[in-house]
Amino acid sequence: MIFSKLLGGGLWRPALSFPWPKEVLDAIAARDSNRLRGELGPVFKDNAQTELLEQLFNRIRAASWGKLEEARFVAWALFHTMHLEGAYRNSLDYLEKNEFDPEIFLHACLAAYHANRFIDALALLKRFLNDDVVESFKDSWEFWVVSALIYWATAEYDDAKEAVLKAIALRSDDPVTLGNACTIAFEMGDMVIYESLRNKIESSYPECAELQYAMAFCDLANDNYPAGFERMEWRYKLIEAGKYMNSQLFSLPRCVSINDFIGRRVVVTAEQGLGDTIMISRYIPLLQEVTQHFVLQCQPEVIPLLAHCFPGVEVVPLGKKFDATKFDAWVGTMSLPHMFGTNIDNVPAKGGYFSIPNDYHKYWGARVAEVSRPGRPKIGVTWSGSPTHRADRRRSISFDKIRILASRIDADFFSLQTALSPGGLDNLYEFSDELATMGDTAGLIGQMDIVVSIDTSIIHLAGAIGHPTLLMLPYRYEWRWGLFGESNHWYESVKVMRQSTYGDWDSVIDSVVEILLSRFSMLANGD
Amino acid sequence: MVIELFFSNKIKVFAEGVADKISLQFPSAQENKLGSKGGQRRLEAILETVMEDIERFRCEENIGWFGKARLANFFKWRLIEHGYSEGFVEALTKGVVHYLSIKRDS
Repeated sequence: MIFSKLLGGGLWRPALSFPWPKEVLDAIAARDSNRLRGELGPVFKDNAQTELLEQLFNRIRAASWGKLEEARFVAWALFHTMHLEGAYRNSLDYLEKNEFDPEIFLHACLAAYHANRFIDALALLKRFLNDDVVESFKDSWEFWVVSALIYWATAEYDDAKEAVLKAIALRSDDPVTLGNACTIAFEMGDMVIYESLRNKIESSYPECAELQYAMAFCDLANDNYPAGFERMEWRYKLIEAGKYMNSQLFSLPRCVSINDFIGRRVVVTAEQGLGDTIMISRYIPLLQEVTQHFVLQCQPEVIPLLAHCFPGVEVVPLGKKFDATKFDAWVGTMSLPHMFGTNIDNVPAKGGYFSIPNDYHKYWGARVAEVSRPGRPKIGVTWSGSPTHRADRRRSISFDKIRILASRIDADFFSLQTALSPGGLDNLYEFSDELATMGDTAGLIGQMDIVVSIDTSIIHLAGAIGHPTLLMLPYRYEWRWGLFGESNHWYESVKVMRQSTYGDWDSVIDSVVEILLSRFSMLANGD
Repeated sequence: MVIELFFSNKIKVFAEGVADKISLQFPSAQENKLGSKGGQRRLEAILETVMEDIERFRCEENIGWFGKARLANFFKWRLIEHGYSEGFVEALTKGVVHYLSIKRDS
């Protein structure tokens, strides 16, 4: 019964009997875990895994493998079949009740990281990692790679660097290690390590999709747009390429160049997050010019706003079924910059391309006027993003920073995020229950004198509206904002306030305060 | 008969359009916000503009009691299609029916 819970089923049901290959049954009988792992690859590839796992675990238990071997195998199997929550909970449960085991610990870390439970993953490292444990992992490049990723995701920069160097020292020729080490080195600004790893990748792995895709972001951050956007196309060769996409798309050919959608009927499908969709929607007028017809599939939250800003464009929820006979091809939104030959000098519509619908403008105008103090500037703020975002701990700031801001600027602050603040600020107004759609958020932004935000979809929304915005950005973060300076290539109205070293939010807040004081004294003086 | 069918279709298109407008501005996924005053307030503001649309349609098309019943019915089924809860659909449909029944030509 426990296995159903581990598999996330919750409801036990009798497992149907599966005709296991003889090799699998022999490996189980021989209690040979390594052999069994090898034999299971083809089985898992072609069959429904959850039901099979239940049968498998029952057979292993019946073959009396022993507690440790059974636990190790279960951890491995759950992780490799992407039952991440089960892998994490099972492994943690074992570690808490039994003697430490490096293999189970490794799977706990891997599962927590890939389940986006970054804080839990860090907690595992802090709880269990002592000198003896470190010694047991001294030859494990996989452990140091996942540690580096966990530390990086949770803004433990020095530990991340140490872990990366250990991984490289153990396995400098492994693509996974190389790719992660290279991107971490790049984001940390350690260009000596980055260049050396990059050269190795270019010379040794020119056809490795994972590495080429990782290098795309380094190219783009370095303003090498044509090469970077071209490298981004490698994402379609990643092992997990089809995982997040509407499978119906694959009944149509994918556009690989602009010629594939000139005069044709195309399904355009949004990729990545809401902010990316907003950013890329600037290409909609170009699509209208070159295609015969297209439909844009995207996140439901932004559909009303897109429908208003681009009348006549068909916008539907991601994953919605469509009649494939009415279309000729499909394209992912993140391919549009490549298709349209975007470079840093010709990004379309940098001045803005969204407008706020009248109903929203009217409602939020009245709402803000109800609460705000006459003569005080109105500042829209965000400080935290989605905790399941891989880099959220790096990009989010503590609410204390907003307190500092509010204590230094005599203004009315308005939360633009739906997650609530911890409270304790008289001049912070929150309307999360009234923000029903992105249209509402746009309406609220429109009432602000300025927006001050971390890197979330709010920045893209404010920039798309062309509203004055200050972006508070971690050190060397996110390719679209480049690496230096206050300007960026995508939104003229967004000014980028960067950490000068990683983790240093205080200097960012100081810069923001300086700009706000200067701006509002100009406003006060009628400038 | 043809005219009646045409008119019925016109009511259907309008009623479904009204339900679609509500869905665009207050999606069914946001229903949980109705547990708060803020959420209720937002929905009320949306419904005010919706009722203005309904009033305009009612006056322009001079729909009788049968047309009003059809309007409410098409409206209700479209809300259900959008995934709203039974309680929400019932409350909004009753609201539309009540609104249509109390308004008189001036």
